[in-house]
Amino acid sequence: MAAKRILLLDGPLLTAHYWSAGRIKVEGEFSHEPVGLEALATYLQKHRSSLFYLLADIAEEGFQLEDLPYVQGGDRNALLQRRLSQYYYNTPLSTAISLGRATSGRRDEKLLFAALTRIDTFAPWLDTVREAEAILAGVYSMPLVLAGCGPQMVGENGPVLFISVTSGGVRQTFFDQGKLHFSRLSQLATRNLDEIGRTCANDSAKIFQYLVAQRQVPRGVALRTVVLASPAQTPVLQDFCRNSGELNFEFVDIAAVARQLGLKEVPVDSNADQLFMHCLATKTPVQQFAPANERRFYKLWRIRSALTSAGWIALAGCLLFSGKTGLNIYELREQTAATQAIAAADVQRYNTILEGLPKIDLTPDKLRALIGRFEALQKRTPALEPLLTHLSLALNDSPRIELTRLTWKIVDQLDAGGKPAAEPKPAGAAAPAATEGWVTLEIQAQLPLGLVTDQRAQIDLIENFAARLRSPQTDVRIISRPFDIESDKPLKSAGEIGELQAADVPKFALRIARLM
Amino acid sequence: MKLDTKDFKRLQWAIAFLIALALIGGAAVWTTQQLKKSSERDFKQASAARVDIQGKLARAREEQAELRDKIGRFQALQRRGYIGPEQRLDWIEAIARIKAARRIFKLDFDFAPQRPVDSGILPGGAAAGGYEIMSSQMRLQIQLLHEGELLDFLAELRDAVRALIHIRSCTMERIAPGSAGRGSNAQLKAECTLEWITFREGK
Repeated sequence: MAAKRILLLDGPLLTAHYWSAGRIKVEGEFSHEPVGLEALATYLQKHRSSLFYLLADIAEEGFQLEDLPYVQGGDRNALLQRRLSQYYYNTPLSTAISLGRATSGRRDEKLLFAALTRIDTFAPWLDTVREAEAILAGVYSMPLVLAGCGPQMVGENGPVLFISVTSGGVRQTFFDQGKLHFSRLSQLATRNLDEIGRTCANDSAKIFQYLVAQRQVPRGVALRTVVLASPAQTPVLQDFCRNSGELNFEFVDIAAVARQLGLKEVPVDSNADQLFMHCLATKTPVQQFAPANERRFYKLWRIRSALTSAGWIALAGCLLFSGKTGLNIYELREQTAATQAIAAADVQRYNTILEGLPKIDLTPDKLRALIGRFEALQKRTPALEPLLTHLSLALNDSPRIELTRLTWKIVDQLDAGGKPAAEPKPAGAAAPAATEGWVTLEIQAQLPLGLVTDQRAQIDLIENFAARLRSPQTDVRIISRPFDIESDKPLKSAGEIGELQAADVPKFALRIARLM
Repeated sequence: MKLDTKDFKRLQWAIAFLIALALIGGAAVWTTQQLKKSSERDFKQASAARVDIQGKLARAREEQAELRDKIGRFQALQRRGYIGPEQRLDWIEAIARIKAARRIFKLDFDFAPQRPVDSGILPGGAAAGGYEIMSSQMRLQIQLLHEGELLDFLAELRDAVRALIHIRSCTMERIAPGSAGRGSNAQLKAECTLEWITFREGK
């Protein structure tokens, strides 16, 4: 948060105050002479990151009350600007304060048009502030400050004339239903207590007459008049301010109010400068007098503040989200650790169970893999005997067939070459798995020479032999016959019996196969 | 109020500050998200490991029996000498002994260098639970009286040697009368391809 500094203008001099947590410290006093303005510029440069509030406590003020039709938006701004320029055409330091809408009729809006009427008083100070690029939050007057914090001191019921003493003099501020209507500063010559008391009494009477003339207070009813004063000075003031049919004086303890509003160093006398500056710092009025160009650096400061705040908010949001995620991570890690601990305990129990087993150098998984592979190997290591025995039994039933050559081997797939097997596949061998493989026995054999001229007998013998070999587990395929009987192959006659040689003996080949 | 170039210059540090804080915040979010993903992964792994060991524990009794059986078989393999380095000297001595005992007329063989088993012997590669299945191919030529003698020879060989004998192929053929060697009355000649399989400890 930027430091707050209040530039109090209550005459020819401008006094700089530093406000911090309810404490106000004077930091400098500057005249409107070039030297003073230069010193002010140096001061502003030194504190260029501070927010400056120019508070005027001067007599050159204007107040105009008017009821206007209620309008909103751009029309309202235009209407107010037009009215301000009509009322205060010679000063840009003006503002309109809404006092609320009427409850009956057209429900017009009551507006107070206020201004600091003598721009020359402010011009050198505002020029210096602008050139120093100081962050001017606004130009305020004591009545604007009182509009904010006055109702706390005087209440919000009925018309009240509030009298306060500042360095500028004695100020009479008129509130109706807690709303500022009018204020006037009476300058003092000597500032002694008698003069203050006399001014309070005399000017209050004049103000009363003025308000009656303006029909802001009813005639014949005493106006409640609240004087903000130090208890030590109250008796003297009471001597001057006596109740009458017109004015009914009440005295409010300035120290009690200061404490109530949070000012750390309470005023020792009736001077309310510090109290009002504290009010300005803590309850800065929405309305102020400075035109937009004087507050350019303030608006830039607000944009900077917004950007910085957005940055902090983004960071805080991200950190909060990260923090939440961090909590999730912590919980996950806790759960992971707990799960691992349970798993470790289970592993321990599992190992305890397995400890009863004979010790080997293999883990259970590796042991399973090894034995599994060995079993697969054994399955693929068939013996010669089954197929040879099967062949032997078939030969017993076919004694005329003589073997010449046997080839036993393991193959991954049955050879589909040669003549397609006309015979049905064995039931158990319908769809051999690629990894299973086959055990095959290729049989080359011959028939008696005497059958060489009896081709039908040859075919019958071979077919019967193949049929004898065939079984649900055994696939049989005739690879070759003594001669080809297919239409697409040549066929020649056999020789006469007497002419036949041993080489003419009928030969055939077949293959039997079983899945491993 | 309209902002001009000078104003933007006045705001540049605030903009940079906003970006820097947003980046820091973004980095924090990204980092924690990565950590969260990693933690979730760890948790899934731990949960899977827990489920796995719980499953094992649930069937521990069955598994104990299964492992006891497998250990027994493993130890049997060790006793049979299938596990460990080849004992080629023992092998050829055993062959010679059987040949002499069975009065085999003629027996020739040669061993190829040892190699991991190929898919023709065992699909799926040579790896087997920390061991490697190795094979030495033997080409055997033998002359016999009848095929039963070959079967007996192979059966005795299987019992005698410290290796698993895998017969890859075997061809038997009648010997034409008079073509057997002098003093031999062999009727049959056989030519076989055998794989002598052992398990070598993995590196």
